[in-house]
Amino acid sequence: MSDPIRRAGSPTPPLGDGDPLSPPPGLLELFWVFTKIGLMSFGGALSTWIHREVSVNRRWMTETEVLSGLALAQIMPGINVVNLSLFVGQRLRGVAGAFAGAMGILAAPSVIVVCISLVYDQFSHYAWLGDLLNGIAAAAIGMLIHMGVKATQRSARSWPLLLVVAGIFVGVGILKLHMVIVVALLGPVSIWLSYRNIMRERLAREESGHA
Amino acid sequence: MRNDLLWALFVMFVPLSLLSVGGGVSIIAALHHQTVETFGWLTEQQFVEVFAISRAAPGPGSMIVPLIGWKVAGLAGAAIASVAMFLPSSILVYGVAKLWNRYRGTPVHAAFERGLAAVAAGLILAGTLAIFQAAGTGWLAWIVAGGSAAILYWRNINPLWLLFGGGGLYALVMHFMK
Repeated sequence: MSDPIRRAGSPTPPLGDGDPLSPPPGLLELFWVFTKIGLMSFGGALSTWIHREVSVNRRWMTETEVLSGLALAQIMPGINVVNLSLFVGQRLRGVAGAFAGAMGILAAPSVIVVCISLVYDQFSHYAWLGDLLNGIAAAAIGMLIHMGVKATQRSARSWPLLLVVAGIFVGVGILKLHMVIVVALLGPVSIWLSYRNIMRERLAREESGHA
Repeated sequence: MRNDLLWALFVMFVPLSLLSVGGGVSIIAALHHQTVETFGWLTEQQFVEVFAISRAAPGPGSMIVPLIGWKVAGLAGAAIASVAMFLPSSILVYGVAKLWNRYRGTPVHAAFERGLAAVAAGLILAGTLAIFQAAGTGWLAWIVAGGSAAILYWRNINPLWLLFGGGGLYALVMHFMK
């Protein structure tokens, strides 16, 4: 009907839990909506666009449902945005919907990235183009530094968890051990530490409740 | 020979797919390690180019995956890399999505959420280091990277401005230095 960018500023609130939903879309429409989201987003805010498009503009799912899907998409392995597209597609149209959503978000950008690379190869003898790309890489590295710092601030809630972050950084980044081994070893430790913290927080809350 | 390449791509991406908590950035260290150091498919400079192009292109932050496949083995390589990277995790997510709501609000659910967030943070930092080492650490790269991190820390601006602003500045300074 319209593109997500132009409608993003629309004052319509997201769907609440009891609000009436629109009927689920056809597979082609699902594919097309996710294709547009994929093509119009740069540098990551895709999850925000999906949330807005699905629960505000098109009223396919409630906000609670989309946000719970986002949490799932973030903790599961795989690319977060792909996971979220899959989740939305599945809720709306089952297996075929999941496929349509994931293909929508991946297909067109994949073709474009290969085309950009082909064009670059044609002109790579211009030194300034190589410099431009090195500069883009440096700016992108800056974005990763920012992302890493934020993620560490959010997740290292106790010093043992900070040690987990540091351990993975040293193991994968500095010692260059195989990522599979490092995550398989430290992942369960991290989940166990978090579980212990959560149970302690619960106990503290209950005790203060009794006092 | 060609089939060997495709098979090697497949075998490289499947485990990464199942362990890539935190999304596209979390696999960069492993990708660099394997494509440049273990297999020698790409040079350091090529890896940096692939990384830069994939970050500047539209779409999810994972577009480095089909691009590496393309560089290694053409169209079939891009297809195999994408299938190997996206399919295993997708099947897992599809299965778990059905269980997800049942465990909402339980301590186990929260523990997974917090525990894996720490793993993702470590992987993102490792990926940053890997790509920084590959890009070489000229003073100008330090300035552009530090500047873009600082700008993002204090201001929420469109990453596209940052990427092409940084790229333009870098190319301009290099031009006048030569």
